[in-house]
Amino acid sequence: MKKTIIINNLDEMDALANHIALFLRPGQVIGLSGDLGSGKTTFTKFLGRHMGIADTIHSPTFNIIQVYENPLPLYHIDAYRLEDIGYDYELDDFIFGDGVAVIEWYPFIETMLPEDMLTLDIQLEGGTKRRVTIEGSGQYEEIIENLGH
Amino acid sequence: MRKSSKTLVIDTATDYLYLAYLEDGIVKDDVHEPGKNDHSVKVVPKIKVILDKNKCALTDINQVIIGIGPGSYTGVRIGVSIAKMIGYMNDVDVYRVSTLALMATASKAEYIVPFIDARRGNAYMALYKQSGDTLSVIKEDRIENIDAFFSRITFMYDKVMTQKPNPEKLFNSEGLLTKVDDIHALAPNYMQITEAERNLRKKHAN
Amino acid sequence: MLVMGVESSCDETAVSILRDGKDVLANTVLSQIDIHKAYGGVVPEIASREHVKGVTMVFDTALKEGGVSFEDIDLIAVTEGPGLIGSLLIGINAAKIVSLNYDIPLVGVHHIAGHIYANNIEHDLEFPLLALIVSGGHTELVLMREHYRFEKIGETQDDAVGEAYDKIARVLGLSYPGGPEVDKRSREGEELYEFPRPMIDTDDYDFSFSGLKSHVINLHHNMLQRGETINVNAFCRSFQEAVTDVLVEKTKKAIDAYSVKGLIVAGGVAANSGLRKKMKANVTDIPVYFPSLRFCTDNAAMIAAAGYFKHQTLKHTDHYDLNGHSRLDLAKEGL
Repeated sequence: MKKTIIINNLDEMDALANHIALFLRPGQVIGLSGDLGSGKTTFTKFLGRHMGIADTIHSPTFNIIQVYENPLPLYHIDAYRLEDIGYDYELDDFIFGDGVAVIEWYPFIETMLPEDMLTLDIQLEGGTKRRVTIEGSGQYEEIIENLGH
Repeated sequence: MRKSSKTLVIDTATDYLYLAYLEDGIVKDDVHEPGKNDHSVKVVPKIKVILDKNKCALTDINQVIIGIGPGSYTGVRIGVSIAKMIGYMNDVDVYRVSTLALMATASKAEYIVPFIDARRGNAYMALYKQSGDTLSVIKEDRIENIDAFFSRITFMYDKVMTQKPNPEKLFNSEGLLTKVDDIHALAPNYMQITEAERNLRKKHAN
Repeated sequence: MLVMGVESSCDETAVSILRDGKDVLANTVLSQIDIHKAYGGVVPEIASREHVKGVTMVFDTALKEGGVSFEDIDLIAVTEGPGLIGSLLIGINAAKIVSLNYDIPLVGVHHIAGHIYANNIEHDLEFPLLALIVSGGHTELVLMREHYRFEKIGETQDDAVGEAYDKIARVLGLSYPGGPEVDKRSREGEELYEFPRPMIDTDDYDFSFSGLKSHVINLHHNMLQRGETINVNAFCRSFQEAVTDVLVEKTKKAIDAYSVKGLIVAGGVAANSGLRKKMKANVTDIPVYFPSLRFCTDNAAMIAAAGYFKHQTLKHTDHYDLNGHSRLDLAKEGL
C-alpha cells in the first residue's frame, strides 16, 4: 500500500509522526529517504517525542546508531556513511530487535533490511512544503490506511 | 583438557546467556537465561553470583571454556573479551568451543542441528552425530540459506535453538575443545568478513 | 592512588595508569586509524573486532610500561559512553572482570568528562570553568563551578558541528573526514558568500547548524542548476566563518555571563585552525586551553583522570551491571 501526502509545515510533520507513533510495535522498522535537509531527522525527533522519549534526539551520523531507552525503545540509525562502507552487521541486533528502528538514508542498506517495513520518502517542494510518499505492506498497512482520518 | 579442576564455561553468542561452573568435569551450577541485548549488563554479575554460590573465587578457576560463535557479533565479543581477560590475568588455560557445538550438547537425539538465526533467510548451522555421550561433527559450522541446508538432510534430526547445553559432553567428544595457545590472539569466529572489507576487496579487484 | 583507565568508545583501544589523577605512569593506545582510513571513516563493526583482538595486549603493555601489576591498582575507570555501542562494551566488560578478579572498585566515566579532565593532566583546572565541546557527535557549552559538576548551559538543537562539516564536505565532493579538508580549503578561499549565523543573537547558549547546512547545500544546488562555477574554497571559507562566528560569539557570551576563569575547547573540531585563531583573538582576558596533541585524540589517561576526580568528589563507584551507552547526558554525570 502506498499514499502520497503533502506536508505544509512543521506542525503537519509533527501530526504525521504522531499518527505513525500510535501504531508502532516492537520489532518494527521505518526507513526514511529524501535529500539532505528534507527533514528526516526532524521527523524522527517528532516521532521520538510521541513515543514518549524526553531526551533531545540528535542525528546519529557519526555513531551510525543511537539507542533511546524507553518502554518501546527507539533505535535511531543513520545509514548515510554506509553508502561507501556497506552494511554493518552490528545493526542486526537493533533492526531485528525489540524496539522500533528508524533508519535515515535506508536505501543505502536496503538489501539487508527486512522486506516488510514502512518507508517514508520526503521530497522538498520549496519552503517548508514537503511531498511525503508512505509505503508499507502487511503489518504496516493499518498505518497508511488510517492516514488523514 | 583436565577434568580434575574448576572450570568456568561462558557463552554469550546467542540470545541466551550461558554460564556453567564445573568441578572435575561435573556441572555444579549453571545459568541459562534469555535476553537479547543485555548480555553486557548481565554476564559479569552472573559470573559473580555463580562463583559466590559455589564458594569459588574467580582466581580459583583453573580453566575457562569459551563459546567463540558463530552468533551475535556484539554478543560473542562480550564473552570472548571476558574469557581473554581471565586467561591473561590468572594465567589459566582457555579452551575455545564452537557455540553451535555447545548448543548441540543439549540434545539427546542421534542427529542434531544447532541453529542460530542469521537473518535474511540465513542461519548459522551445523550437523552433529551423537553416540552415547559423544558428539562428532558431520557438517561443519556454516552460515547458509536455511531452506537449502535442510533440503539436503533427509533423515530425522533434532533442531536445537533454546535448550540448555550440557558441557560435560564436551570432555568426551574428540576435537570439540581447542586449547588456546596465545591468549592475545583469541578472537571470535564470525564466519563472515564485514561488508566493508567485502566492498573494499571488490573495489580492488576491479 | 593508582587509577587504571580503560577506553574503547571509538577506534582506539587504550589503557592508562595514573597516580592521583595527574602523574601519567602509562598511556598505551592501540590505534586503528590506519585500518579505518581505507574505508574513509570509522567502520563500527571493524572497530569492535579490533578491540577484541587487542584488548589483553593493551592491558599487558600498559602494566609493563607503568612497571606495576593489577594488585597495585586502587581504582579502575572505564568509558561508559557516549560512543560506538559495540566498541564500548569491550572495554566495559574487560574493566568489570578486572574489577571482579582483583576486587578493585569500578567507576564508569563519561567520555566528554574525560576530554575535559585531559586538561587537568597538564595544568590544574580553575573554577568556574567553561568547556566548549565540539566534535562529530557533540556541540555543547559546559559550565563547571567545581570538580566533577557539569552544567550543560547550551547545546546544538540539531546537527553537531563536526557532522555539519562532514555533510558540507560531501556535497562539495571533498574527502572524508570532511572537517580537516574544509578547514584546509577555507584557508585558501575568500568569504564570497554571506551565510546565515543561526541563533547567534538568541538569548541562550544553544546552537543550530541544520539550517546553515541546508542553506549552503541549497545555494550549491541552485548554482549548479544555473550552470555557475562553484568556488569550493570560497564555499569552505564562508561556511567556516559562519560556524566559527557562532561558536565564538556564544562562548564569549557565556564567559561574560558566568565570569569564568578559564576556557577549554575540546573534541575533534578543537583542531580546526579557523576556530583556534578566532577564539584566541576574541577571548583574551582568560586563558584558553586547546588540548595538546597527545591528549587531543582519544586516550585512557583522560578517563583515568576523570575517574579519579569522580571517585574523589562524588565517592562514587559502579556495580557490575554497568552498561555502555551510545549517548549519555553529561549533566547527569556529576549527580
